[in-house]
Amino acid sequence: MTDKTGFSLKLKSDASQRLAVVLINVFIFALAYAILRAPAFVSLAFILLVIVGLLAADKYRIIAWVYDLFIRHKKLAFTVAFLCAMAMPLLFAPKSSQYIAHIAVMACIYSMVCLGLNFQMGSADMVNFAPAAFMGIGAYSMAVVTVNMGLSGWIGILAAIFFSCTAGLLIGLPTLRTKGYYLSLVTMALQLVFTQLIKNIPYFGGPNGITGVKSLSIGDFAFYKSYTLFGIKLAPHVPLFFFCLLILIFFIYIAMRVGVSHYGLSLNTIAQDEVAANCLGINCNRRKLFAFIIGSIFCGIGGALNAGLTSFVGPSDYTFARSLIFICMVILGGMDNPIGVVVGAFLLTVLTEKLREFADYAQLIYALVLVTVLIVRPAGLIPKRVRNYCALFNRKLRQLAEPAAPSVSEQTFQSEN
Amino acid sequence: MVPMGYLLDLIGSAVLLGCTYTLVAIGFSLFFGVMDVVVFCCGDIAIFGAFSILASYTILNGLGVTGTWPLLLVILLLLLIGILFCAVLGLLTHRFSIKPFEKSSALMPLLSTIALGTVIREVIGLMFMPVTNGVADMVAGENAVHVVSGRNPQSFPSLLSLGGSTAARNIIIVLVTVVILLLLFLFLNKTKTGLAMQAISQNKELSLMTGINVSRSIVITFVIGGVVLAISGFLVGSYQTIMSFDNGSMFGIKGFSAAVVGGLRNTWGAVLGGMLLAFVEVMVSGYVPNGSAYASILAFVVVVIFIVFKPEGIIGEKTVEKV
Amino acid sequence: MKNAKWFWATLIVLLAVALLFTGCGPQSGDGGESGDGGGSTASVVKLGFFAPITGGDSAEGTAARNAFLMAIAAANASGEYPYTIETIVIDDQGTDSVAVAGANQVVADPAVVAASGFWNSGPAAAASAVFKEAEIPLLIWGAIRDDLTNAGNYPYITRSAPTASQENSASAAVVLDDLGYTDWFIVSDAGDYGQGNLEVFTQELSKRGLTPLGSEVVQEDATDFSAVVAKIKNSGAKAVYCGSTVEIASLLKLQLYQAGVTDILFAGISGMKTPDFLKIGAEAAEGALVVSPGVDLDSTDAGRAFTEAYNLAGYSEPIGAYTPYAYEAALILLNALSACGDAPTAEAMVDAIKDSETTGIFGTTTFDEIGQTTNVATYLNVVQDGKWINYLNSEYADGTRSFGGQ
Repeated sequence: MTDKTGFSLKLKSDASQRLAVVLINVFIFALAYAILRAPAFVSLAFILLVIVGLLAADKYRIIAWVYDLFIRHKKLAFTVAFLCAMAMPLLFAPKSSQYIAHIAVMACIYSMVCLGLNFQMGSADMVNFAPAAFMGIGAYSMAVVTVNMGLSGWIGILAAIFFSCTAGLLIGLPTLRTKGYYLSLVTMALQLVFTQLIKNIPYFGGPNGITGVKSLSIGDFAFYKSYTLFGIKLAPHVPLFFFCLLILIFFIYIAMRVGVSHYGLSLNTIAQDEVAANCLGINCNRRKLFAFIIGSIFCGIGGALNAGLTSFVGPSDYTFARSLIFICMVILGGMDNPIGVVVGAFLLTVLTEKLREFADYAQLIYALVLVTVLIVRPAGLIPKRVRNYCALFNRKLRQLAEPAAPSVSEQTFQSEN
Repeated sequence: MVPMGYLLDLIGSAVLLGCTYTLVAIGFSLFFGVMDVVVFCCGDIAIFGAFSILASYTILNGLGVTGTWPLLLVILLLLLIGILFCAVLGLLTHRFSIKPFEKSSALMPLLSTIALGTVIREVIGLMFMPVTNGVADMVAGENAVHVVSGRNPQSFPSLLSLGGSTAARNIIIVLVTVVILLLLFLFLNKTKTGLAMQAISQNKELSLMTGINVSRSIVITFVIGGVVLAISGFLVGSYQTIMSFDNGSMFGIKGFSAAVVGGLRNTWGAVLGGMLLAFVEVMVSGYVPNGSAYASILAFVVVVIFIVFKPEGIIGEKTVEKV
Repeated sequence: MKNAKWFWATLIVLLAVALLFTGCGPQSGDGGESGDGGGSTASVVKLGFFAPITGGDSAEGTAARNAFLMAIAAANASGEYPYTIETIVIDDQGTDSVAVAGANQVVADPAVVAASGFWNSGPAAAASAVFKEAEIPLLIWGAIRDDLTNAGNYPYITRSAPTASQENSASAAVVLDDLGYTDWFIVSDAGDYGQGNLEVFTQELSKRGLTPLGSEVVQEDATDFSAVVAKIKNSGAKAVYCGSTVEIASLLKLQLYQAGVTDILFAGISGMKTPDFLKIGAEAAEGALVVSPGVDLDSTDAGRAFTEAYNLAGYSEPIGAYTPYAYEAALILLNALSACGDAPTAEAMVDAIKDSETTGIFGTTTFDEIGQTTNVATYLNVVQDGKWINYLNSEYADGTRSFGGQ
């Protein structure tokens, strides 16, 4: 709260801070719920309001204030957010909300892919044009394992992790020799080759794709199946929705931890200046490979879940155009900020579904959004947080001065970065 | 076993295809040479040029001009219109996708021009029909020729096929490509403006200090790029005869690949890259049974191999980054 | 602490507004949670309709939607049904995931009793799973891949259009048996449409003991077929089969013509029979022979009546090869609705559709044991002087003109 022009409010008592955390959390989720539920134009108006609101909030440093507040009451913020998130599938559980549940699950899956892409594009400034291909690798692994081999979906997930990891390594290796445009062109070529290759290999169903992909299941409890509870027929998405949310929360957690860790810092350094990073003793090759591998695993798991959701994989879903949409989501949300990326993915997924009748203009809208965001606000809706080592340092000093202070723990420091 | 005529046929096709790739690739290397950025919407600008020529032709046709005026005059007029459109589009590209990112990461203009390419493509698809039909109605009234849908394939006027012969057309395409290359080479190496542009590509700060008007040179680059791309659009359109609004993305990717394979900074590299790519595609299609399915995959594999093992391209000096 | 008061006030107002919209959400649009029971007092019955209204196949999809809505509007106007029939039109964009999301939208609505849809086979296969799971019947009007109707999907998934094999065997009977071509070269695209046709036509050839002189699969966005043309020229083929859509077929025919390969039969499949094919010019397009599903609309009274009604309605999209099939699908669904009485349910519609017997433009449609139509009709078209005309009425049939390569 050093900037005098910004929003600076000091909530004195601990109770009022906690109340603010709860209310803001509920507000965010209520907004997401309203955007999902509302009819097309109301939803559109909401999305516009959210965008304008976020821009204003950033200008007056409200976002930073909320961040600080949430970090101070990390456990509470997380618990409330977790409960709110887990309430979503329940709210969309009835059969009649099936479509909204479907959009929400799609938003979860796209968020996972965007988080994966963010490691490369956001943190290390290596624009990967092939997130859809990595997603496709995951989806096809799932399909081949469950349909062609008839094994369980869990093995499919493992296969998705393995193959997307391998692919990430294979495509990551050339990146050690190339950078900038060349790297982007390599990934672009991979994306185009992936789609064409899939179409030409009969084992993968060629252009017909693979039908009848099984979703995950525990024993007889299938994750994508309509159950009847208390006489109400439920949407088939409910168990999968819970599962996807859990995975997404886990991914956000990993992304945040990586972001504040030494890895995140060195990826940012590589993005700024690779030669300098090398001189600082950062093993650039290892860090870049790390970004590619973890990113492609995220994409691969997203793809495997997507295959289970649609019970079908085909080449038309994992194309270059889809990759561009993911890139658009990351840039809109805010590069190198996991929360921003998820917000971007959520907003664009809902926007696409709500504007179905204007699908003719969808590509144009995406492209215009991208051009505008790049010119007007390249940092995205929720820009990445500036690493504040000063605050960390001061706190550490303070902690050393009064060793009995109970409220600050070691963990707080790491997240404060 | 395979007759000689077959090989000659294939070589002919490859040369022609190579010309179309080269023309788009020149745009890439021109922009990269001066600005040090990849302008990814080159293919779309070229196709936009082709569509503006097609639209003007439709309108001129309604006025009854095409039959009465000499063919050469009509072609020149159409080319002029196409060049005008493409030059303006080139300037717009500079204004909205290059200039705002002068100080930021080099990948920003790449992303921005990809997005701009999509905008151009979609605008052709969505606006072509309303615009052409509206203007045609206004200008030609009852004689207006109407276009079905902007997204449907459109037929490009066969102005170069003198007397219906495709051989003449093909020769003209190759000749014009060579002439453009020569003119561009002469411009870049023999005129003051061209040399200034090359100087900028070598070192921007130093060029500023030596009194070169950098911003003027950049604008000139985009205008010249627009001219070259308009002519490519015309030739590509004449070669294909049937055009689709989204052809630009394919030509963009192929042109960029060709430029990379040849060496991004070098105009002659674009020719070599374009020809290499076209030969790989045509020969694989021609000699491997069912090779068409894999032709473009192989072309991309060639590109990746080049990027990884010889990123400076066929022609190009190796640079080592220093602090 | 004025600041703090403002903060709390704003936060509570914002929260209240958000919760308000959350609360009133269910009533606004997406089908309330209360209507779960189905249609005991149904005054509105809904049908889903899927077509690619935007994207590469929009011409065919939009025309089909027009025809479908035309039939439903006529039924509503006739007063035969004690309820209003509404159609939820979904644009599948020819993409699988979009189709699945749309299918979820349709099945989530408790008033929906049946759906019809799909021109592309991929989206049809992807959405079939959703319909099967929701136990709502889906009648496919345009997607032709053989395995869409199968024992596993029966009785929920039915199809009123001929499959790729049914369509191709009709064409094969003419070009292989009647015209007697033996030296074939097959070109198809890498998409599902092209691959399906390639497979089926190769089977037709091998049934007659023939093998193609060569076959080539081209990418869907390819524009330069000179290598393929050179290959065809070199193979000595007397006939080319092009199993692809109009974008590729027209360019291939044009480039064959430009390379001087004119003494050859150019046979194809319904996907290329559109006015766009004729844009390559009368001379280049001359003699292209394609099979179309259904019967020639100009040859029957019902067909002529349909064309007249469609043109009267003033749609800007011309009638495509599958437009009458979308109309037929509407008629089949309407017929099944009347069999279900005053309060149709999805459950009743499943049986009503599979047992239906509907007489429409193409004669009487019934379904076999896997839900495939038994009413298979096809006819041939040929380009003559820059126009598509029925092969039987053309100068090719009476011997005035002849295809190349004979």
